[in-house]
Amino acid sequence: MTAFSGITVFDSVSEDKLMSGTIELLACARKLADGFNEKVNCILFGEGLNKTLKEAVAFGADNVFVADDPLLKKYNPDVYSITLDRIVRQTAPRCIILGQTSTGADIAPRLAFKLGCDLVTDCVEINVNKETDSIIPIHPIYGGKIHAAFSPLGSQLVLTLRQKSIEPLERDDSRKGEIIPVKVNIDPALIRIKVVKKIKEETEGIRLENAPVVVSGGRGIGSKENFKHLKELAGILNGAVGGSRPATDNGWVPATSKVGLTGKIVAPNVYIAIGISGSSQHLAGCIGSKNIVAINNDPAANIFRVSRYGVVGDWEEILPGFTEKLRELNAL
Amino acid sequence: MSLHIIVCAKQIIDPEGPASGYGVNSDTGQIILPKGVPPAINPYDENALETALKIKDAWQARITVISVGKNLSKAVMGKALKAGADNLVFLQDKSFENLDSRSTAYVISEGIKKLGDYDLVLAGRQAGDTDSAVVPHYIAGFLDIPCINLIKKVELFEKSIRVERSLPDGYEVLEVGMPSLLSITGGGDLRKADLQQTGGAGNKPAVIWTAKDLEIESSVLKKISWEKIFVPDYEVECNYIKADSYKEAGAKLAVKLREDQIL
Ligand SMILES: Cc1cc2nc3c(=O)[nH]c(=O)nc-3n(C[C@H](O)[C@H](O)[C@H](O)COP(=O)(O)OP(=O)(O)OC[C@H]3O[C@@H](n4cnc5c(N)ncnc54)[C@H](O)[C@@H]3O)c2cc1C
Ligand SMILES: Nc1ncnc2c1ncn2[C@@H]1O[C@H](COP(=O)(O)O)[C@@H](O)[C@H]1O
Repeated sequence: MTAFSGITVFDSVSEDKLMSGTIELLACARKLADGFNEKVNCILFGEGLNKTLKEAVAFGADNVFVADDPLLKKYNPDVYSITLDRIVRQTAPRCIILGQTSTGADIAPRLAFKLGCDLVTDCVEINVNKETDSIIPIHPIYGGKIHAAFSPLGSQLVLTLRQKSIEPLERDDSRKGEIIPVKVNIDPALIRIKVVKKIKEETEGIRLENAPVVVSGGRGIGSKENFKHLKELAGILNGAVGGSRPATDNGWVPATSKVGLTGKIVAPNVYIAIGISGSSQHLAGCIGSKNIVAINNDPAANIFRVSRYGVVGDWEEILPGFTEKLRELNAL
Repeated sequence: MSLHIIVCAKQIIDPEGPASGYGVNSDTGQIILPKGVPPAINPYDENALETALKIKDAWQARITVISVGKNLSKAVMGKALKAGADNLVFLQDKSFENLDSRSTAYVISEGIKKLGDYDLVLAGRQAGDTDSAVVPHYIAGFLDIPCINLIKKVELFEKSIRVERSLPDGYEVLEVGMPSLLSITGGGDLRKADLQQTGGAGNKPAVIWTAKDLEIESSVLKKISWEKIFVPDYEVECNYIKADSYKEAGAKLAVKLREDQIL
């Protein structure tokens, strides 16, 4: 028997609205907690939280620990990790799950280091092994070319879950749960990092993560200028424009449009990959798409192996016919 | 003021290699790595080194590249010296093979302590084999210095550092003192070998420190252990659209996607 019990979820909240990622974390925690017959505790940080707390219960939490404080409005690594460590120690969970987001992936190692426990980041699946009374996380390695299920880890565990790797639970407003406020109290001497300002670089139009159609371009697009053809297509389809790492690194599309292992995870109805070879690192960000459509002049490109539809050839010649026909069909 | 910058760089199998060739040995349950894909410096660690070199362009600085492993290659890691790093330190030992993140970071932090004074530690955002993005935080933990990850730009002042940290919807600006650890996600490709360096620093030997030199007992080190590994299978049948001309193929794709109620 371990002294640790229950599954704890952590996330931050902005503007009193639960993020889709938090709801996924709750679904994952619920599955694990039910496997052990234990509770789900949800820790939320933010300012002016109210509505979200009941929502967290409706989506699977048994207890919601809320740290509502102006200090937590903006992410500060020191403030967040010190506060989280304190609350986690009070609840002594067997597992703490965070999102594989810029915040979650930054706090998880800080927390695991403080707790001295095991850590597995960027899990795509997390299972319960009842026989060994343990949690088995699956983490892709070598850019996703191999998936690895870890051997039984220690009795307390910090995990981060990749976005969009689990279906959220149905909202159930009849669920009951307790809301427990916690105080934030930090010795200023422990704060070594200062957050000066945040600069938003949002592109106009529909958000990449939520778009039903994503038109994505890679190194094969060749220039920033050429991306206007992809933007035009995305416009017709009410979609968003994404890019592979070479496309974002070269500044053809903003860095915030990168799709993949170290970019955004998208799972649209249709993902149109143009001039993208389909590296495992890129696929990590789009393999959850319902339909992948590829245009590539290399018949052996890996992208075709995961695509439902494909055209082999030069995109510059193929795309005009495609865009024109879609416009025509839309007008019918 | 002369700065000492330490860059943590890992030797890995080239992550840009094709997916074919990766497999699982069904007898041992161990990973089969593809043959003929050469080792390389982890790409994000090259970004970290380039970031260090940019600082060295503007300040008086000395750069030490440090790496942990069992079979480190001067031919591979020597690229760092050719690009302008001053020293290469291999923390190399049989017991340093396949360590988990915590043990890797522990060995690196002991190596850094042995190096003595330093102002800045740079690491890559994540290693292309483990894909964990954990070791830098743990190194900072062992050294008890501040750590900021996902950095795309570094600006140095006399006693502090100002960095830009990538976010999904932009970036944020942070300030921290020295010494600190920064994990790097951008900052440009590693510059090409400098001919003068190739003739000079490029020929410098790597310093090798073993577990014994670092006074690390193998009993405190933990290896990565997997219960099961597998190659994910995402393959679907591709419906290839063909036509007499590319323009027609494009139009045909549109019609097909409409017929199948996809678009
Ligand atoms: C740790 C790590 C993390 C990474 N994270 C990411 C990530 O998050 N996202 C990501 O995308 N990458 C990531 N990468 C990089 C990844 O390994 C690949 O290098 C990258 O995905 C390749 O991008 P690409 O397909 O655009 O370019 P390439 O692989 O160069 O492919 C270009 C394709 O365009 C085709 N092409 C060229 N011209 C034309 C034309 N005229 N018409 C049609 N087709 C044409 C070519 O046939 C080729 O298939 C990561 C790498 C590492 C090591
Ligand atoms: N064996 C190693 N030797 C040197 N640096 C390492 C090693 N392992 C990890 N690192 C550093 O830590 C970063 C993140 O690694 P990881 O946490 O394994 O994804 C890498 O980009 C390197 O900068």
